[in-house]
Parts: sequence; C-alpha cells; structure tokens
Amino acid sequence: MGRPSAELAAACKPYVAVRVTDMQNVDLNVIRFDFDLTFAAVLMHADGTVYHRYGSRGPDDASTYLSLSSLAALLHDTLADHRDYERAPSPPKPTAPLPAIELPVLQQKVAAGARLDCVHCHTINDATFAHAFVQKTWRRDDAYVFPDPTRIGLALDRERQARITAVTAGSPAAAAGLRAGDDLVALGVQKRVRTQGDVQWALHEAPFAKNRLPVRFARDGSEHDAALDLADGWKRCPPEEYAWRPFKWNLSPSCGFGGPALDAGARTKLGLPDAPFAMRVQYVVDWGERAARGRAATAAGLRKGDVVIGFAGKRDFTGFDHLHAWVGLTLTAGAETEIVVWRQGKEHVLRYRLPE
Amino acid sequence: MIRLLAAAFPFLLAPVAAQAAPIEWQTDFAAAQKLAAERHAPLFVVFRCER
Repeated sequence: MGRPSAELAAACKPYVAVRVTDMQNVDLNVIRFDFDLTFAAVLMHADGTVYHRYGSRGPDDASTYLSLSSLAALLHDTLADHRDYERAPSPPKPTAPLPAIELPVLQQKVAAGARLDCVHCHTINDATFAHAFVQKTWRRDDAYVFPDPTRIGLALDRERQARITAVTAGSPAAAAGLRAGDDLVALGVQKRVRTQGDVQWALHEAPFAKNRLPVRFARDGSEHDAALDLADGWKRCPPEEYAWRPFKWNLSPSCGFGGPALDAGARTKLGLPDAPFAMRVQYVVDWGERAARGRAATAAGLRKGDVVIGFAGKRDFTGFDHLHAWVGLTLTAGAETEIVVWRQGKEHVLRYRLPE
Repeated sequence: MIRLLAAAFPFLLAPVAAQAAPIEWQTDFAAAQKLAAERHAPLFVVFRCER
C-alpha cells in the first residue's frame, strides 16, 4: 500500500487536510454528509462551499465505494473546481452556526449530567430523529437519507464514480436517456458530480414527492441536459438496504429485544433446517427510556434464550439488523402483531401490541 | 469495521511518520479553515468514526 499512500499524500499537498473524529463543534449548517458512514470526506472551500462528498457504501460492505486511487483522483480533479470557484466565488448565505453538540437531544443529555466525551458522526441522525419523535414531527420517510443511485436506476463505477456502468431498464435514468458509459456532470443541487457521494447528496436534497430532477451528462465529448421523472415516494426502498445504518436501533416502533442471528448450521442443529432466519434472544430492552418496548415483549411471553424465527408474519430476514430496520420502517406502533419463537422443538406464537 | 478501514486506508491509521510522504493533518477544523482561507487552498476534511 506504500505506493497508493504516496500517491494520496502527493494529491493532498495543495490542500489543508483536517481529520475530524469528534463532531461536537462541527457546524451542521455548513457541513452535511452521510453521517452514518464510518469514513467520509468532504472537499470544500474555506467559505463553506462544499465541492464534493466522498464516501458511500453498499448494504453489506463498508468499502464498496472506497479506494485510495479514486480518492487521490478526486483530490486532483477538485483542484480545477477550486480554481474555477476562486475566480467567481459565491459563498453560502451566512446562517447561525449549529454545532452538533447543540442539537436539543444532546443538550438534554448534557443538562442531565451526561458526559459526552465524543459525538460520533452517526449520533447526528440519531439525535435529529429522536428530537423529531419527541416533537411529533417524525415522518418515516425521513429515514431514507442519502438514497443509493439504484433508486433512479443507476450503477456507478467504483474508480471513476461519475461514470455510469449500468442503467436499469424502465427506471427514471433509462427514461431520461442515460446509458452505460455516460458520465454524470451535474444532478439537482450538485453542480459538478465527481463521486457517488455527490450523487447521493443530490438525491438526498431532492424532494420525496413527485418531481423532475435535472441531470446533465457527457457522452462522446459533448454534454446533454435531461430530467429524471421521479414518482411520489421514489426514495423508499426495501428496509434491508438501510439495515446497516445505526439509527435503525432508535426508530419507532421497535421489537424490544435483540441477539445474534443463528447460522445455517446452528439452525439445522435446532431442527430448523429450512428456516431462512433464526435469532437467539440475548437481551430484552427492559431498562432506560425504552423499557416499555422490552416489557411488552416480556408480557407477551418472550424469554431470554428463546429462538425467534418470525415477526409480524415475516420470516425471511437476512439478519437481526434487517428485522430491526424492517420493524422500524414498515410497521406501526400500537399494531397487534406476533413473535414466532421456536422453543423445545415447537413453534409458539406470541401475540402483542407493538410498542413505540 | 475499523480493521477493514485500516486495510483500505492505512494513511488514516498509521503514524504519519511511517508514510513515505506525510500528510500534514490538522485536527482543529476552525484553525484549518482559517489557514485554507489565508493560503487560498481547498480543504480536505476527513471524518472517521472511531467507535
């Protein structure tokens, strides 16, 4: 890895490089990115203008769209964007700073005597959503942050991330005339697209409701303008795509228990060779602010050590993360539902009202 | 997760001195912003969760 590191270090030279590991003092009115990522980079002007966002991932792999060479290339290419911008700067309208530590939920924790040594990136979405729950302004659709380009029918190249590698037939991208081999130039609010993160930012900022999202692309040396016709609710997707995001643990409703998923060997040993999913209940959430969740499950008859094989009529979960995301993104608090457990070689159906 | 990122991005985890061409990382964003403005240099801001 010595050579790529040297390449990256050389690409960094014209920049002032900053490494942020604590979000406490980061102004959320200036810097916004996909806060759930474990690694993200923002290339920007000192006046707060963000040129590009780097960092995205697939549902199963945190490194799907990360590579040293693509990052080095981005650093190199962004110098041109910086030079252009310096010639005609248009700084963002000044806004009152919003350091992450001032998010209401974090302030309440501080006021209650909690010591926050570090505000993690993923805490931002947790705290924002938690506040919305309290204020009763939470809408489930708000969870669909930074939509993947597959929502509009695009697959992008890992190295040259503005390059389209595939277009899904029948998708908005196909209808707009985009083809594999085209390079995205601009999309919605993103004036210059260079990364998958840029695309996701443009999609994040686009309305959830039906709209026409402008797109500019390059093909055979010339640029073309088109528009993506996005249907009402276009950002929604199967919950497993959001199962990696930490905020799923704090969504409402929630099943109120947790534990490890069992692999095929363990399922077979238990007499469940054909079960697509099984998890052993290791804990029931019967403490803290969310104790009602666990108490409801316990009252329904759930015990630590039980093996859960189904929930609310669904059995094909890919893991506990998926189950949790599915509950939070598709079910409604207060609904009559059921947990299917495998106990002493038999199925038991436990009925309960899904807590908030 | 951190192990995975260490494999992909050793420059972020290894001591700077071990790199062939060290990156001069700032740790204070506000100071870095001021420096970038003085130098007319762009900012490269890395967010790496250490959880």
